[in-house]
Amino acid sequence: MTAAAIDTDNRNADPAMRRVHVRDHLRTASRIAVLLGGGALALIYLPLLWLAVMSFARNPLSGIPMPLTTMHYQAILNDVRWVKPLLTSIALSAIVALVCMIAATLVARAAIRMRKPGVMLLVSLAPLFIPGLTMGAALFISLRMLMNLTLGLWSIFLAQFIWAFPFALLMVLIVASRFDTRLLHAAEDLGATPWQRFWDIEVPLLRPGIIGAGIFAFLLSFNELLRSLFVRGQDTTMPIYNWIMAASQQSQVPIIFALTTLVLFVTLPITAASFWYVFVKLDKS
Amino acid sequence: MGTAQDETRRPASRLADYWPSGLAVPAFMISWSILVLLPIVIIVAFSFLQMKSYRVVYEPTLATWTNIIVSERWFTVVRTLRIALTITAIELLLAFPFALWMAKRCRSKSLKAMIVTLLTIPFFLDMSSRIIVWRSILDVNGGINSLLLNLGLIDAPIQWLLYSEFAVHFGMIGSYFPAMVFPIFTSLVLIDDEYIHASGDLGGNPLQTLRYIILPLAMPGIVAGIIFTLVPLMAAFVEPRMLGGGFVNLLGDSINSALQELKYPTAAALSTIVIVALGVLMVVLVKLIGRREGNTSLFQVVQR
Amino acid sequence: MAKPENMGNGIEITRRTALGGMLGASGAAMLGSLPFGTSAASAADNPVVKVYGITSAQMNDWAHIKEAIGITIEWTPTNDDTGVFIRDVISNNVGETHDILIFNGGTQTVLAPQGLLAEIDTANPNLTKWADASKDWTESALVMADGKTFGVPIDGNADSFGYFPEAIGVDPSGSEEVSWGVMFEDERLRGRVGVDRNWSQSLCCAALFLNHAGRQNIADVANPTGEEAKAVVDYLIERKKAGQFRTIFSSFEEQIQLLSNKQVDALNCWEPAVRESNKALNANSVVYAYTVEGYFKWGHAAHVPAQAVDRGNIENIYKVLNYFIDGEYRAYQAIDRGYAGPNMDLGVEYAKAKGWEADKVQSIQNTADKVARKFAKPFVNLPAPPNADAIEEEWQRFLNA
Repeated sequence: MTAAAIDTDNRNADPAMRRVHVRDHLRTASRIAVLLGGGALALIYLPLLWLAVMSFARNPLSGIPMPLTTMHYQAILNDVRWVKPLLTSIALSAIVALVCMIAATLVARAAIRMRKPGVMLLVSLAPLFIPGLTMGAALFISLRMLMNLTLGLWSIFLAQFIWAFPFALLMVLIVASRFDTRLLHAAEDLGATPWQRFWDIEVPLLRPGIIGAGIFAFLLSFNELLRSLFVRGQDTTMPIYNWIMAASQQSQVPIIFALTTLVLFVTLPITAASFWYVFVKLDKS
Repeated sequence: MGTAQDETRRPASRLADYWPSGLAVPAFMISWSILVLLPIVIIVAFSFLQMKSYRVVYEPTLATWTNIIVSERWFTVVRTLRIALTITAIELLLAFPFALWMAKRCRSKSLKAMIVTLLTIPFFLDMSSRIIVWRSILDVNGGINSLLLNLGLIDAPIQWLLYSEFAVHFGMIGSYFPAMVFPIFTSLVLIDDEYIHASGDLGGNPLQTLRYIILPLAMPGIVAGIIFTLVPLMAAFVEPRMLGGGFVNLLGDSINSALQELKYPTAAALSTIVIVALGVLMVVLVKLIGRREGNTSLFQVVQR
Repeated sequence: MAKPENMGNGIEITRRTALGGMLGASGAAMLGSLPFGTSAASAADNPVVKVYGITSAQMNDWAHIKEAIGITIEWTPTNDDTGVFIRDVISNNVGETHDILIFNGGTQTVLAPQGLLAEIDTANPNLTKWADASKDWTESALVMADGKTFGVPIDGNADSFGYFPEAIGVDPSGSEEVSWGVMFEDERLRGRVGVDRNWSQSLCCAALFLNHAGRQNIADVANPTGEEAKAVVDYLIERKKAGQFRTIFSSFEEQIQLLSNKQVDALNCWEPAVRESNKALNANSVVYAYTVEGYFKWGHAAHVPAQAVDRGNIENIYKVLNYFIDGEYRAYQAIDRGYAGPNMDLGVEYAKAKGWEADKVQSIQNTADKVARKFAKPFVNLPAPPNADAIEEEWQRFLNA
């Protein structure tokens, strides 16, 4: 959007003047960028703030926050049926994230060393092109109807892994594609063992991608409903629990609003602290 | 996948030497292929079957395909693709400048950490409750209409703010923004500031630096961002349900509805169309970028 | 809950005590209410019946049944998605692990012919209340298949639509009969009507209306043929294009929001949504209609999977089935959700005997009267009608229009 403006700069003869102009334009461009991003963030957080306010309203869907009450928070404490699905989801997502980080790192570093990684990448990314419900149905048909296996947490894990792995792989690839393998040859020439080359050189350089892969895999798994629904057997994750309760003909909104607000205010400091650690403490460069 | 026999640039850098990927990767890829390709084959095969009173009839037929064409059900795929592509384009326009600013202009690391936090948190929260809140803001007697009426800018409430394609698009922008920002940000952070300075020192203006230095180096991130946004958008169902009000019927709901009657073949046929459409789209995307950025394969090592 | 039920079971005490010590009293209380330690609990003197069922049939507190007949209920919940239920029964073999399956009555027409359900032994000595129940329930399409009984009707309601009386100028008491035409073609409500996205709720009720108005002649409105469904959908598409419908909703929350924010004047919602909305508005602001043409009559049926018969737990299963048609369950479901069911009189009796407040007793009586009046009209919904394939395909045309 500032492209045209910057373009005219080119014709400016005086280098000093030009530098000043460039700086001005960059500042304008930055402002626009922040405005756009800030606007998008506002679209996310305005409804969340309103939701947090309404979680204290007697009738959260009425649109009127008064009268204020903490009854919905008490209701959460009284009804603990959601605790087990929540714990299941957290544990499952953590495992999915861990496995994704390992598998994505191994596959990505192999991909960048191959002359023609096309087929391997295509196969790895294939689940991206299959709608979630269909993937769920297809997995159900193959695992249950054709192979006659008893479904449970293991099949939910499998379904979520298939969904999260391509994203994790892409995250690592973004970083790995910039990786200079000559570093490793140099290390080899200096006598580093394969493990040292991998752990002391490659992994630290790939770290932003690996961390990103873990975060994405965790979040994708934590929210996954469409596939899990088919292969859940008789196990229940948090999204499945919410889906089930939607049919209870008793409004879950007051509880869900309160729960969402709680999750917001619990995850906010934890996530902020961990990112602050990654960005500020680990990144000394 | 026979990775080990692939030729490599230098004899000493055979894949097998790159412990621990050497053996693990072929083994992983073989099991992965079975796990992923088998369901795809099943999907395509099932679209040529039929259900009779909730049971699969194993007898090849084209009935499902003729049905979804006659009932114009296939059109939900087109509508979904159109909306998903529009949103992906909007997100790219919003996210790229913002990611560039975060990666290269934002000096405070703490602020950066805070923004990344804000982009992550929404994933933890229940989608439906976030979206249902918009309804009381966008409706005829909702916040925006009341405001506009009070300011005298309009005489009658605007109907299309809710239960319209506009509302669905509007709701999606916030939901899919983080998925676009993350990969682009990750790829931009990795660009060495030296390159950017060098470009400036050599007389390149910011636009040239963007075009010839930043964009090519950020391309893996941009492609990943497009995929991260487009793919989940194809399955979007919360926004069209809550904000579309039955006037924006998208693929996710259509497949869901078929599966509620256990119509696997119908779901399979719709999915087959999606797989083909997304596949074609990706090939076009990769070819386009490949032509613009020279012949280097997208995710290949940048060869210097 | 953390206190061991059976003092003779030493292992149980140790395990629970250890947990309590580790997690503190509150943690143990939490664990106690979760389905932990289920295998230990299935000892003969602490009988357990495992139910796989739709959430709306749940009691708010299963401790009542434990107190009344000494049986612990272990509930695996499911949603009202017919596809998921049928899939779980046919392909996921829930019958191998569960004793009772509860879902919208009617799926037995699909499941029973495949030998997945056991016929209900209506003469079982533990099923004492069966004979008292009205045949409107026990011999209805909710539980019958091929002339045999494959389920126990445990609760239900007659669904119509909620409306604001002042919008259509009828008596605000709500006892007046209103036509379904109000929803579909009343000019005063143009653009002020919400329609359920679920076709069995909306398409079938439109069919009922068109039949009654003499514009269609559909043999079974719960199971129209493809041709008949097409005619109804053509009509609804015409109404949609004319701008009659403000929105097509899919969740319970949306129903409450649409009514309590007065975004619509009529919508074919569930009755609990009207109750919730009237809590936010003034009492009786929204009325759940008595209609001219009839109702979407539904009920939850409890089925016994074929595999459960030989597991040695059949006596307890029938005790639980009997509990569902006895007074206590009746009274709580009426109070908590406004649902009726067979043997409403036993519900009233129970509430009186337990000394419940007069307005609660009255409310159970009102529920009984309401359902008796509504059930006199057609039609009983089928969750899995034989023509579902074709109807679903037609309904997609409506959604795409």
